[in-house]
Amino acid sequence: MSTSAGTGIPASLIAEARAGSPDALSALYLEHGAALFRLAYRLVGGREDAEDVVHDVFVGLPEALRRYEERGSFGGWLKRVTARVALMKLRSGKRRREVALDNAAGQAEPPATAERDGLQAAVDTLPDHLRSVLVLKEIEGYGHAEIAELLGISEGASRVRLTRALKRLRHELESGR
Amino acid sequence: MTWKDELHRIPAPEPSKYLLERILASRAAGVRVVLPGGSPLARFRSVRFAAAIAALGAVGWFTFLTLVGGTEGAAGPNWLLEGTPFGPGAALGQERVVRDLHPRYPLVTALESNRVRPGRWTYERVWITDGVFTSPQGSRTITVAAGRYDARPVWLVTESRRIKGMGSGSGDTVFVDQGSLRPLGRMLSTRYAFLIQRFAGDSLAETLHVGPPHGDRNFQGGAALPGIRGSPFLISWSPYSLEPLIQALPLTREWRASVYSVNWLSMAERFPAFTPLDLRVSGTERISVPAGVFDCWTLEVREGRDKFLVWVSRNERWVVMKRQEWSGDSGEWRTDERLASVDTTPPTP
Repeated sequence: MSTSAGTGIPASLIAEARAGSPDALSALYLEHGAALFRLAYRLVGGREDAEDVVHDVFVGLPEALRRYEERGSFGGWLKRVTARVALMKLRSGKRRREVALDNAAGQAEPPATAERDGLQAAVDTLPDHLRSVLVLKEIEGYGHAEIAELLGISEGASRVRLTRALKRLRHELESGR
Repeated sequence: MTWKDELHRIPAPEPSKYLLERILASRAAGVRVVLPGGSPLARFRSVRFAAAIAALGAVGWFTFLTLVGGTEGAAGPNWLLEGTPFGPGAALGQERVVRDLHPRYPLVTALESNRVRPGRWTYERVWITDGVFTSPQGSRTITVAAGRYDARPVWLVTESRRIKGMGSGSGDTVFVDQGSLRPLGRMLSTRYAFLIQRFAGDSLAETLHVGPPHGDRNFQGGAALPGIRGSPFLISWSPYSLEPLIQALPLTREWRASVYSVNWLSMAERFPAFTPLDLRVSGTERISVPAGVFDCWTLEVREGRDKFLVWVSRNERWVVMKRQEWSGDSGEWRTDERLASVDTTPPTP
């Protein structure tokens, strides 16, 4: 099976998606949708907003693929596009607050350790500009160059923010014990 | 394990299993989104743009810093950058994952299974934007026919569709025990996958073959069925498909109950294999659809955070209309599936 150079995705699938084929779009969604949703969720901080982001990415994908130059990882390209859409949503300030449909009684949560709960609480206390770099670097694994590109800051600023975020996080965790 | 390792393990939820359908419906309705680029070229453009703006703003910036005094150091007073191309504007939150894996109401146990009749119900699907712009999307037909499965009398339930942007063809074929209305078997064949589920007693066995473009992969798995022994299940073949169970539910004004929906075991990493659907009669309404005018129960159906409305005719217990709504920055949308025709002549299995 021929793949687009370096993308790991069959060239025919990308060509079909570029032409707007629902089947091809579905196949790409099944392959990448969940990971893109998690990335969007961590950036916008809400389930509905994250679904809006992924919705917009896939609705716009056939047209965007016409500009896609098939260099590097296709999944990496999709992630960068998703991160940009999510950051645009953050900047627009048009996020929705998550409102539970009903009270939380009876709702189950995934297993989480006390340490992880404490860590999440500590992450939640970080100011936005530090948290965004922390999530992109430490959770999503982006390099400082990519983070700088995504956030529109310098690589140096990205490093400084990460250092501050980690310092504050460590302080929060230590003071919480 | 260090707390930095734990960062990777902070849970994040999975998208709604209806998100793909929403995406395809948007495409089919002509919705288009211009995405930002993902190539390094965009970076050069943004850097040049940023440099130009920075140069223009340098004098004002210097004046501001001089007047205000303190800054955050190298990162600068970031709140000032919010809403500009230079920095993210608002909070970036980690949110606790909430999954509704427990039924909200008691499970369905009382059934009037002798009320179930075979037939063919065809629904026209309409996409409505901002409550004004209407776009026909095609049709979906549910057929319930009498048949046999492993020598047992069953309802053979099939779905066929001709939906704009989602193609034409068949959905699942499900064999439902006529007495308990529990599924006994399920088959699904798509362009990329072939799925078989077999239900026996309190367990479920699944075989999935996935073909190109995902390569040739096979999955085999099994799971214990949740809930009360003998209680009915729904198959999650398409959003809120309730036939033929709906005909057997003893709906009244205060009726409410939950029923488990069976998803794909092979997708359990993304969606729970079993999710409860919480059903509640929320009122009555007379509605007009292409198939006629019906006095209906309005039934609220919740699956996790997804919510649908279903209108069920009070006399026949037919699904007369289904509705799902979404809203986003660029508008509000809903899909309605309206009963277009009914044929209660027993179809040939």
